[in-house]
Amino acid sequence: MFQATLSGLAVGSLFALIAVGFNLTFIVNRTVNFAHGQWVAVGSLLAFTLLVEWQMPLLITIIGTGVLLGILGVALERVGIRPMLGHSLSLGFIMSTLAIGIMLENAALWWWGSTALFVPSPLGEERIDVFGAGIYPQEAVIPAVTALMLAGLALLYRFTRLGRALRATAENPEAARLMGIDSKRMIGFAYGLAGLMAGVAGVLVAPLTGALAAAGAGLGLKAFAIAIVGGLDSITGTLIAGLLLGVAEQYIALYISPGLRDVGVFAIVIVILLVRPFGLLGTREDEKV
Amino acid sequence: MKRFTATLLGSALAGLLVTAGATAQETLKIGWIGPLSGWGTFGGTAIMRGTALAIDHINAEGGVHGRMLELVPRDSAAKPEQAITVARELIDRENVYALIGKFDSSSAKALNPVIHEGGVPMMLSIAAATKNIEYERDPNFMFRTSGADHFIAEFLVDFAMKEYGAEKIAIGFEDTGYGFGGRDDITRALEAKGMEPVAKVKFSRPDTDMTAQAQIIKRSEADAVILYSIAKADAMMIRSLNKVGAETTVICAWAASSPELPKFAGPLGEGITVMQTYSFLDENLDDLGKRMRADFMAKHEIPDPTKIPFPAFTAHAYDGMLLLGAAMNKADLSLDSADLASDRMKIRDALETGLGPVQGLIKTYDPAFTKDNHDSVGPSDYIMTVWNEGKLVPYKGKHDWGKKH
Repeated sequence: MFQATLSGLAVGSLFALIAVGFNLTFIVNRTVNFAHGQWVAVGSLLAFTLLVEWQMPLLITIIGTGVLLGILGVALERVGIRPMLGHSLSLGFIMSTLAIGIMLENAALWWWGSTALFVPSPLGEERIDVFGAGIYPQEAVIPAVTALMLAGLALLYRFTRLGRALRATAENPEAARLMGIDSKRMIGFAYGLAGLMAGVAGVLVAPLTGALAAAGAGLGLKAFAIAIVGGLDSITGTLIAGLLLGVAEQYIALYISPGLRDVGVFAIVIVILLVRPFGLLGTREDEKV
Repeated sequence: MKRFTATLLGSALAGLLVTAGATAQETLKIGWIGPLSGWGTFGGTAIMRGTALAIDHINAEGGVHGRMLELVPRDSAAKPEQAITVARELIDRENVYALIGKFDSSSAKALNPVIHEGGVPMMLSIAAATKNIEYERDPNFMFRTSGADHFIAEFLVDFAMKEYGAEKIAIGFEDTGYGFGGRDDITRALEAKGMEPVAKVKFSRPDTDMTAQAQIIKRSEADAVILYSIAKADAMMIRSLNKVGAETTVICAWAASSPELPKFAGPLGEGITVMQTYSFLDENLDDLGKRMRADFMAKHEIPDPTKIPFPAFTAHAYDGMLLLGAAMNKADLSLDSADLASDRMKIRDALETGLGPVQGLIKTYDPAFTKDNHDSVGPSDYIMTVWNEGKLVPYKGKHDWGKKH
């Protein structure tokens, strides 16, 4: 039971970290990058190049991957999101982000190949014993990094001028613009931040599963489910949903059957959405007529 | 003008002579199908290289009926639909005499209708699922030098019991045709010994976590677990078993011969046993083995025989191609493109009826196949190997499992 909980929290916090990428952009302009998973996969491949091929230190790898995907995030918003939003009901961004994701995945396949690349954990492979349960250092560090990243985000939103500008844009872009906030730039910034998070998540996941160009779709789908369950406009909700589903997944596999794991998890997702259509902590938006 | 006409005539004549020469030299095409991209790239490449070297050796000894063989490789990316498309192209447009190759059983099975409609014999180098050969077909065009899962399962269960005295055996398998087939074959092999698996756990290749599966195996108190998956997933399972503190002995089916196993399992890969059929590191390697090993290493610039990836896959492909070559030489082929269909049937007949003795790497085939047995490699040809310092070496153990029995 304790082992399952421990592993569930590690996996859950990883998926929560990925899922926050959906929250960040949805909050500011109601759009998401539907290929966010592919960005994480590219992050893990960049980790392979920097850490294994170029023998860079871990810190440089994390910063390099995060910054590179952050820049890509800003570019995505400019090319794939902004031009698609002619109308409030415009759904063009779904297709454009998916299309850019497919292009990114194919480019990654071409550059890095189609097999999983081994990325050794910089923290070593020694099993750590926690009250009889086992965990690898790489798994143990994931909840800590997730906590650190989310705390950083909370501080940014609450206490900085930039954070206030982001919140103002989320609240009402028109009013924000009248108040002198460049809301377009804020949306670009949110996409950059989401890209950065994808990069960090990629570096974290690489030693666990290997870096694999085709891994994006699987990672992205699960993370998207978590963001929906938590509430697309609530980062706290996403964190709770990630941990909840991560642990639930382990319990279902252990006490029912590994074969029914995904059936069970997605059944829980549907039940939660039936009870709370906007997610655990998502806010209901009433259309103004 | 006169000089120009003479030059033109001369060129035309020379062209005709060249064309006639080319016709006399025309090669006999053998189509190869297997993954050269996607998750099966490493295995597919090993199979293609083994086949290509056999063709080099056949050609060096005069080819088939005085004509050189030419390998026409096509990438199936381990996807059944792509395998079918390239098979049709090879049969209808490239006019191949026979097909060889494969890696993934799901594609191998899917090729059955295509090769039987086309009337082209196919040699499966690696594709172990029992059902890949459909014995209800008559005439049957599918042959195999690969190990077969029902035999492999019996061998692995026998090994677990005799070597480790295992009385409680669990199965870990991936959720693909290969994994499900392995699960069923091992269950049957255990039942034949009056046992049943103490746990059956399924996992997926891209799983980010296999802790629950490892816990189930630990909870079952299994003495040994037999893993039926690709090497990377095997390695993830081995890591998870270590994480939950399970002290179960791990035994792997032959896909764990990939260098990905020691890479992803790290030090935990040390001592993991893997069923194989051939090792280039055998102390008593015969002359053919030595020649093949030297030529293979020279051709692919491999400095050290321990670095030959998937040795058994390479050997199966080599032997399969030798058998195809021998069948083509034995058959009374017209080698006229108008008679291609009848030549293909003659090759099939030659394979099925009394082909041999043909000396291969794994064994001397005599006869290679019969009407009721299209599998040329059986359990007596299997050996056990072990990962030792990143090299897959024959495993001695209590019963000298590294030697054929």
